[in-house]
This record gives sequence, C-alpha cells and structure tokens, in this order.
Amino acid sequence: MAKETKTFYCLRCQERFPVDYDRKEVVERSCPRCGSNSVRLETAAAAQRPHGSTG
Amino acid sequence: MMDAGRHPQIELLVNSQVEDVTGFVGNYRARVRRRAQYVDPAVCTNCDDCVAVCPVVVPDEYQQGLSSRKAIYLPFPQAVPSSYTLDADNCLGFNPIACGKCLDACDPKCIDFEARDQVFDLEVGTVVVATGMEVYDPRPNDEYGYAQFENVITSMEFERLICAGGPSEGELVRPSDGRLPRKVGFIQCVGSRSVQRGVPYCSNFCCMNTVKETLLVAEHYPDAESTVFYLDIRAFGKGFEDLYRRSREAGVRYVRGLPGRVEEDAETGDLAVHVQNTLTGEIEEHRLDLLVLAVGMVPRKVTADGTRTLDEILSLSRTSDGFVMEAHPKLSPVDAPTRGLYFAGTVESPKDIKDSVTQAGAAAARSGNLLGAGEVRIEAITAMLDPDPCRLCKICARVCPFNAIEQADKKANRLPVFIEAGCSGCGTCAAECPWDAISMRHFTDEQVMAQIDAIVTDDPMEKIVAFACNWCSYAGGDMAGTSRLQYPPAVRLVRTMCSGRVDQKFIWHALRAGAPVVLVSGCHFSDCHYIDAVTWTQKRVEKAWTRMEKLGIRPERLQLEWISAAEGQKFARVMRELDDLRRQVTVEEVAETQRILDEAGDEEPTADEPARGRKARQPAGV
Repeated sequence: MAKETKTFYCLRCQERFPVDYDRKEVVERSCPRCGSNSVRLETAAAAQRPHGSTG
Repeated sequence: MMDAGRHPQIELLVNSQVEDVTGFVGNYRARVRRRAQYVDPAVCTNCDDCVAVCPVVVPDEYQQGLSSRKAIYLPFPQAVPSSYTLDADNCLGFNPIACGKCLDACDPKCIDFEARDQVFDLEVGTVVVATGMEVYDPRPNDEYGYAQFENVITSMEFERLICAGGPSEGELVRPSDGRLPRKVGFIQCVGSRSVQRGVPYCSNFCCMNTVKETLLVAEHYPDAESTVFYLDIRAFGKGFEDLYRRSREAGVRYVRGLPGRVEEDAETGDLAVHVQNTLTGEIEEHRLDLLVLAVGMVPRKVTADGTRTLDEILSLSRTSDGFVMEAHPKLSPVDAPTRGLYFAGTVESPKDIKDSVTQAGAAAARSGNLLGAGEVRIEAITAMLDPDPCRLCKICARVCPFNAIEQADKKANRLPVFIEAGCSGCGTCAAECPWDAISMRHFTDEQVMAQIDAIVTDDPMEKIVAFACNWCSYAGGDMAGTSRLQYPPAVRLVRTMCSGRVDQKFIWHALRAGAPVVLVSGCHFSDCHYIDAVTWTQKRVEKAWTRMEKLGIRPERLQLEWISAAEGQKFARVMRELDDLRRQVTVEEVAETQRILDEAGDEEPTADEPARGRKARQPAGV
C-alpha cells in the first residue's frame, strides 16, 4: 500500500505535523517539536481541539 | 574451508537453502533444499574434459564478470567439495534442443541431467546465521561514472584483478585496453556514510582494504602512483595505523575530499578526476589510468522458500541499518533474541575478516556450551495458559515474537501449546489475550494490579503510574538515579519485563483507581529485547487512546515514551513533563473518569472478537 501524508498530533505539546503514513506499518514516531513519542493520528475529535503548544 | 570439509563432525551442505525452521532451543527442525548439482562429486575427477567441450560461455560471477566460464564449471579453484557443477539456467542440455556434449566427454560418467533437488529435514540444537552481506551497487547513483567508463571499477573487481587466481593472473590491467595502469586512484566511502547516496553507516572495512590495495600496487609496480580520495581514514585496530603509515611512506598520496566530477578521455580511456582538497582548499585535477571505487557493505536479505525471508522463518529483527539485531550489543553480541540462534560475520554488522572469524568462533563456542550442557536452563518468567477461558482464537500465537506458541486448532478443539523453552517472557501474549487465559509467572495480572493499587491508595492525585520495561526504561530510571538527575517524586514505577506485558486493563485499572496520568514506556523499536514486542505495545496504546477519546477521557492522560537505558536525561525530562501534565488534571476530571470507566467496564470487544460471556468452550481432548 502506498504511503499517504497524514496529520499526526502530539499528546504532550499538541503540535500538529505531517507524516508519511502507512496503516500497516508500525514504526517509532516522535513529535518534531518536543520529541515525545505520544503522537497519534489526528482524528476528527482531536482536530476540534486547540492547536499549538499548551506549554 | 578444507579443514571444515574434512572434519568428521562437520557436514557441509553446499548449494543448499534452508526453507523452514521450526521448534525451539535444543530442538530445532530445519527443512533444507539441496539443489541438484547434476555432477556426482564422489565420481567427478576434475579432469576438465566437460568444460573443454561445453559450448556455453557466460560471465564468471566469482571473477566479478571480468572473465567467463562455461555452463559446467568449478565455481572457484578452492571450492569445497572440489567438484564441477552444472548451471541449469544456461546449459543447453535442458533446452528442447539438447546439447549433451559434456555427457559424451565425461569418462567417469558422473553427469546426470535427471538429478533433482533433494528436500530433507535436519534436527539441530542451535542455528548459526552467517548469511553474509552484499556490496553496494554504484550503478544507480553512478556519480563517478562506473556505468559509463570502462576504467572505473569497484574494489571487489580490483581485488580479482590483482589476485594471482584472478582473470589476469595477478597482472593489474586496465579493462579498456589491457594496459598496465601507471596512475591509480581510489575513492573512499562510495555508498557509505551518506543518506542521499547509499547507506548512512560506515562500512568498516573499506579504509583498510584500500590501504592494503595501495600497498599491493606499490609492491607489484614500484613505478605506479596511487592516490586515495577520502573523507577521513578510519584505521582503528591492531596494526592498522602502522599499515596506513607504511602506505604513506610508500608514496601513496592521500587527498582529503571526495571528487565532484569524473571525466573520460574518449581516445585514451584515461580519466580526469576533479576534487576539492579540503586541507588546502584548492580545486585539483588528477589524471588517472584507473579509478577504483571503495564500495560499502549493504545487508543481504535471504529468501528462504520464495515467499518468506530467513528473517520471517527465524523471527529475526533488524536494526535501522538493516543488519540483524543481537540480543544485547555488549553482553550478548553473537546471540539472537531467540535462544539457540547465533550470528556470525557481516549478517550482524559490517566487519572485516578478522572480526568475522572472531565472531564465528564466539558463536561456535556459545553453541557448543549450550549443546554440551545437554539441558537448557530457562528463566522462570514464562507464559502459562489457563485452558478454561481460552477460546482458541490464535491471537497469542500470532503476536508471539519468538514463535514459542503453537497455535490452537479450532476444528480439532486443540488448545495452543506453549513451548516454555522458547518463551522469553515478554508477556505480549498475556496482554493481547482477549479472554485473560494467559498469565505470566512473576508478573501476573493480580501482582501488577496490586502494585497499581499500592501506588494510588494514598493521595492518588499526587501520583503518576509509570509502567517501565526492565531492560530500557527502568534502566533509564536507574541511569537518572545514578547520575543524580532529579525528577519529581510523583512518578511511581511499575516494572514489567517488556512494555508488551502492559495489558490495557492495567491502564484502565490505574485510571479507575484515580491516577491522573499513566505512562507506558519501553525500549526504542530498534532496541527491543523481545524482537518486535514493542510494536504491539504501540498498537495497544493507540487502541487505548481511541477508546479514551470515545468515552470522553482526555487521551493526553495516557502517555507513551521510548526510553533507552542510556537516556537518563530523557527519563528525568519526561518525568518532569508528566508532572506538569499531572498538575493540569483536576479532581473533578478524575472522578468523572472513574464514573465513566465504572459504567463502561474494562474493555469492549472489537468487531472481530466475540463478546465475553459466551458459552464456554467444550473441554479439549488434549
């Protein structure tokens, strides 16, 4: 399956960032801003929440 | 090789491929396909009569294509066993128009076109993986004209040219005109140490190989001039610096800088190399007769049976460089994470002959120790199956990184079989089992939950429940401690052998018990001591985030972090950040979470999992 560019967001600093994403590929990801590994694909619910750093 | 061939306890299976490996330490069963050789080595006298009459001429792979061979041939002069083989892909004897000249010429009658591959099983106690490497192919990038100019060759081709057993019998000749080159250039790091032009790592052997080659040129042809274009010369190791010094003293010129352009004089075949000497800042042009590219080493992926790779068969994991990952880079450098598997040579990392031989000796010794003991002592931390709740769903066998679970058979109503000697105790099966049918010795659900309860009994709002894997994150905490790095006392660690053991229900239990923030931490993906168990951790945490969002619980309260044993600084920083996060969680939010989770229960069955509480499985007839 070809990779698509998807938006991920960081559960530590709320940074949004694009990622080349393949659903079947499990890889280590980190936030480009704070380095946290608590990053996940942005969902509709997450998109409603405030963007940018909380810190 | 000769010694190995003659050794009474070594059976050489040449021209053979391992197609499958099943079993566990001490009890592996390997399925081997021995390809048809079409020549009986016991009868062949190496008379060469078949080669003389064979009409097929193809490039000789052993000589890097610099000379040719016949369709029936001796792979190389020192081949063990020393007997001819027949290249079925190129032999005309297999075509509709049969040739058969070799059959007529062979006096001992050792050629058999009807020979077939043999497939057989071997029972072995241990397996040593020594599948080697490939050299970097400079053609795709072709920055130095390898695909365009005849007199640009690779270091492997140079090696054949200057070898007495090579196509020119040790005479260094230019491929374009067979003339002796008077000016030879060597370009280092071709395909190595560059993300854009090959691989990011140093291939280890190229610098000293080039130094050796310059000395060979100086010794064979005292009038010849050698120039080496390099980034830096890495001459670590016994005697290497001395060899480098000898090369310089022999008149070899070392130019720090990699060429930007290579041009060919179409009439003479001579080469013009343009380079910026970074020591002088000058742009230099070097006229050369022959240019040698010191190509790097790239990992080899071995296909086992046409559909699966050796990695899949042996559950090998790879580092980001693509070389196989050892159990521990310092403490178990020749052991695979799966017990009874060992590595030797460049399959594990780029290395030279000396290091490969050293590692092979270590792998043989490790293997011998294990086999000599006659029995295997295993860790007490292994998985246990409770047959009653098991629904034969096969998830445990699918997620086991060590293939230590023989999957259940629903039709035969057969329970999964847990091979204790193969289990390394990561706990992924226990965490993934939807029926709570698997438990880990010394890390049972009850034991882990009791730790969580103990953490949040008093002042839960002041606590962060942090699950840390034994090998990396917990050791990272140790590193922070021994380095006297301060982090908030709110953090309370729950140690598991692997983050793969962290069941979702531990997370829900902690949140329900009032923990404002939960952390799941483990090894970086390339460091996981349990092959790929850490990937299941990530998937599980992602599922938990999705469920939290669905239930109306802030996913931020569940954090995931990969922390290595050396990252004490990171451990302390993450804990400080989590403490900031903890302070943002209110008592009301925690109470609301508790109410939500009390109503929702621990887990919700997914679409492909039947709901809990269904009719119990009939007792298995095992």
